[in-house]
Amino acid sequence: MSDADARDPNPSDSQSSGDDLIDRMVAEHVQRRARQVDITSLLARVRLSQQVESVLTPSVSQTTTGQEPIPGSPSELVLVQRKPRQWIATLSWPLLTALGLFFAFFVGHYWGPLTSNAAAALRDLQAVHLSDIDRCYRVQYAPDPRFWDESNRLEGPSNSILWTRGDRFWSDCTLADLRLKIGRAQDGTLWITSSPEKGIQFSSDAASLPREVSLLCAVNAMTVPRLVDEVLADFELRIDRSRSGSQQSRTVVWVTLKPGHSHPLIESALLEIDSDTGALMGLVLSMVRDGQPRGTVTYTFLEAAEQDDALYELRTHLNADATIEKHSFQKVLE
Amino acid sequence: MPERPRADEELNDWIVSTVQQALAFALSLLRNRVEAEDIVHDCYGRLLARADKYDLPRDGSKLLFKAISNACINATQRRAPTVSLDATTNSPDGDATDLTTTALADKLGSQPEQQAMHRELEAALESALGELSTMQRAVIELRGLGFSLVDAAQMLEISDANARTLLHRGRARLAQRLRPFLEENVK
Repeated sequence: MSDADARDPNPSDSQSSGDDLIDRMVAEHVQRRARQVDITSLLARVRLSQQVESVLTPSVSQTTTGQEPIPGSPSELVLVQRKPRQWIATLSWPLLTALGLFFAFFVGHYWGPLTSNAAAALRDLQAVHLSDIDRCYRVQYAPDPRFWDESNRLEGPSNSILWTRGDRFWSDCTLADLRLKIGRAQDGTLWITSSPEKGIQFSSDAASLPREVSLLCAVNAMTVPRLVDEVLADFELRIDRSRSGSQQSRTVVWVTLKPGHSHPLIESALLEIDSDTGALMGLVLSMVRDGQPRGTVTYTFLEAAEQDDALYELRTHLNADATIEKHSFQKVLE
Repeated sequence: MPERPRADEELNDWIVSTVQQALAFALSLLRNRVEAEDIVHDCYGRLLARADKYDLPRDGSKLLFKAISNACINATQRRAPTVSLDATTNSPDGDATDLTTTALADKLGSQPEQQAMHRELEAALESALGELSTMQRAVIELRGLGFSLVDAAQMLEISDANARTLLHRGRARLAQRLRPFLEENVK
């Protein structure tokens, strides 16, 4: 590429040569810097988005079943071309994160450093929700009107019915015109499907995941120690108040960012715990992305009722001849 | 094992071939790893969602860097409301004439004893780039990545003349900042 277009109209020779040298130094510098940057997590995120989108698009023509790693490939992940589903990269994050945090509150091992009362309340909450009781919640996502283009229905409000048992869950989500089911099975695998013909399973082995993928999988697969480490390290807890009266006695716990900390997805949260049963009755999450408020996810307890074990398994939500993609991840481009 | 479609392989190759420069560029503009990764991820997402319309292996780089540039500049403007496009040194001449084309990098990098000096120059250059305005840095680094000034202007949605001014002032600023180092070490 010629440098002529970048020079002054009548540069002196020395000026021109000086410009050339600066340009060359910058070029070498940016190339060297690019070679040094660690792209592991970013590359995995880009590919993961493609995978999830491809599975959620029923009309995808290229499908693989029980996909194995490709020898020599920098990653086990295989990019699959699919119909545009840009919404998944934006809309699904609040929901998926919210699902994960929901369970983090249930089965988190610890929150530290904590206000002791808040920590005790959460430990009690954890114990209650580790029991094999099926609980149902309504999950509603309301986008922040300042940052939602209303012409894009796919980034609009959504509603879900969420069933939980211990660290298992399954959720029936309605996102605009899409019906999505997501869950975590007894063996720890995360699954997602948008039609009875196709589903995707993610390996529960998150030990070697890049950080960002680890975050996503921890959020969705509810591997709580990792979730606490990755997602909640920047937060602190406190009991704001307890109230009693004609209604049930409730304990309210605030989750807020520690001073000077930031988080790419969560700004704050509010838990409402039934003081008598110790069960979570409500949860409100304030979501952020790119430093901007994205909206609020609200969980409301509906009922506790026995659910069939099979409902937490992907196969139950698919036809007998459905395609199931199985994926795992390993570090890419060391 | 199923054979991977050629188009997917090409798309995959395109991602692998561009992702390092893309992330490094965003990092340079934002100086924040989390923000940079999120923005680059989003930009890839938007382009890949239109992979059926664009020939990304052929045309994707310009589109990608245009998207990253705009997103990063928007982010920096949100972070700091007033970023002057004309922010520059008070002495734009910068004495760039003191510099010669005597293969500075080669001279600094060819001898083992010079490698430490080379690292110092790298650090000085990185620091000097960091002192440029976001737009100056974007123009200079896009040029460094091999794009023409016209391409850079289109990516940043500014006129060619404005891009040329930003490049000129950015170069002058770099020359001024690096001059003491270069005068001491290049003789």
